[in-house]
Amino acid sequence: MWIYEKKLQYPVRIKKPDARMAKCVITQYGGPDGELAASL
Amino acid sequence: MMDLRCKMLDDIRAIEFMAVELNLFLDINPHDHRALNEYNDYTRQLHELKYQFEQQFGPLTNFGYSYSLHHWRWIDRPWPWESC
Repeated sequence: MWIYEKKLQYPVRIKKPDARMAKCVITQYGGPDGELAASL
Repeated sequence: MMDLRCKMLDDIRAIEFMAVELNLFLDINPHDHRALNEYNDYTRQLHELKYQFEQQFGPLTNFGYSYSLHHWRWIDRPWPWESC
């Protein structure tokens, strides 16, 4: 169903690391109300 | 400075963006001929660009979706997390 492509869909250059924003993003993916929880 | 590899990948990404957007539009407007023509046009461009890229820099996909001519280039660097 899925194929791996040896390239990024949208490369992101992090110029200014932001730990608080990073925490929000990670929570959206893996947190209790995030993508991962929604898919299980 | 942006090298040729990154430039070619950026061009591929730009065309892919158009293809995805037209795909989504066509899902709800399947009889729109103008959108269909545009979609096929971008698809043609995408095939050409990916072909050019793979000739120079090796396969973008594995498991039989792309050729690896001359030698096995799949394991060659850079991997996506090492460059653009």
